[in-house]
Amino acid sequence: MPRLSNHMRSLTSNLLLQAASLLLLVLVWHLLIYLPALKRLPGPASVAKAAIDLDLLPFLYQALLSVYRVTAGFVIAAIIGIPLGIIIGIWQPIRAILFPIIEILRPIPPIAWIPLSVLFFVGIESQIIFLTFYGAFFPIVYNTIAGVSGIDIRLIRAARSLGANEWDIFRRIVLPGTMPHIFTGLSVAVGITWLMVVAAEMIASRGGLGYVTWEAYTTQNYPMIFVGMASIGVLGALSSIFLRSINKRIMPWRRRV
Amino acid sequence: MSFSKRVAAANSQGELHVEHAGKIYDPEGANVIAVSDCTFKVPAGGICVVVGPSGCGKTTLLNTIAGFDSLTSGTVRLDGEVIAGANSALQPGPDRIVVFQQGALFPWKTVLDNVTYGPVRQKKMSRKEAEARGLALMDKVGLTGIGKKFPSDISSGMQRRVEIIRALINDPKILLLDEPFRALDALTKSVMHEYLLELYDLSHKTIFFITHDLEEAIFLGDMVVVMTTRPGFVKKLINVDLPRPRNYKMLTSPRFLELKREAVEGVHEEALKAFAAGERELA
Repeated sequence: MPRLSNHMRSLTSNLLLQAASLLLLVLVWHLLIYLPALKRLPGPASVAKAAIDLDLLPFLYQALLSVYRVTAGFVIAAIIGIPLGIIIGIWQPIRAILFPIIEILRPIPPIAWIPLSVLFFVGIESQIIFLTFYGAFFPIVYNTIAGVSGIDIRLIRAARSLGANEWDIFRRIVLPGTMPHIFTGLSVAVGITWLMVVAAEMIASRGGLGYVTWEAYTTQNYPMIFVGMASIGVLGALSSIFLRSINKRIMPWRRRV
Repeated sequence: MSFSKRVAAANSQGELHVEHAGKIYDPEGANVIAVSDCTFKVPAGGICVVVGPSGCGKTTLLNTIAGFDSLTSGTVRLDGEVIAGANSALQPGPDRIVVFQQGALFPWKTVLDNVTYGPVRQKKMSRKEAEARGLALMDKVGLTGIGKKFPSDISSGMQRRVEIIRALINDPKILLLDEPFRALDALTKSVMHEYLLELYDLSHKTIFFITHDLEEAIFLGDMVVVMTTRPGFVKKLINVDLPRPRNYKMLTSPRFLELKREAVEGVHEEALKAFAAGERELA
């Protein structure tokens, strides 16, 4: 019992500290707008007002549009990337063929693909989804390969001694052993898909939160820039939290790690 | 119980015969001789402990018995059947199970699922039978009520016991232990020795045990094989004639100390040689 109450106390004081830190940020921001150099910067009060006055339904539509583009690209990247990473990790010849290609493409920042994707794909929607897909693809493939090749040989040997065949080893050892790395890849990837969607939407001007933020700038509706940015931040954080909760559910053995 | 009586009581399976075993790594290039002309015989139901400095080929020998590696010359037989020969090795199987140095429990399976993995996979028992058998074995070594936990939730001493049971439940002919207690503190280690001997008394499986620790070797073994470094061959075979069941009072008995002195002399010479060789390599 004393341990529990201690725990609760440290949890509440933690929450208080976090709230205080956010308040401090708002305060600094509020003071900054009095600097002559930053006189065009909207303050917290005008941003709050913009958020309250927001036409909610159209804004939600724009947010959902971004969520859809992120999800589509991310899911396609996972569906292709995870199996591909496993295959490359397992079969040496395939690794020898595909790895150099990956190594050449990987250092090119996904944003540099924007012009090419416009050439390749006809509809704006497919162009944007290709870009979110592309941003997510490499972190997923790369981490999956690392996961497969990092599996402890002793676990495979132990399974073999205990009578496992190749399929058992794949299903019961390689897959669960790779899972933590796959999730590392997925959580890196989800951050990059948000980056990609915002960049693509700012350029494409076909809706989405990136477009909303950019349009606020071009129409000089400066407080709205902050509303757009904050919404992107919140949605990005929510997608990470969502991934983490799945992570905990399917890997209960890592709950304490 | 005397050794011969014990062996007679055990099912007479698990006689290990290592004959002129040799292993050279990378025969074309560096030509590292890991094991050279090793010959010794472990009777069925005996505990054979191999000691020697790092790099003396102990683990190579164990890997060939387990089927993870092959020899370049000589043979290893288990009950007369050749399980490893020149460039050939029988596939690893549940008749020769290894307990690994840092432990190799499957982290994503509960303790009980780890224990029952072998018999269930090989369809030797139904899951229910395997679980009952596993829980019974676990109870014997003080592992009650942890079946549903994950390996990361239990202590390393417990993990090692679980792993030994995961091997024993398959009724192997021989149990291969690769420095299983190396990472444990001295107190846990001494408790583990007693648990291991208790489990041994239940089944009298042949045990092939690798260690650095001479005291551990003599305390556990019926025979101690002292190996040399590069090339690794058998320098000395010590027959440990201490009575069983063994207990910690024996660690200070005159006979124990005498055997220890005999082993120390063998190992120390080798350690010096290994050290000098290391110095030369650096120079």
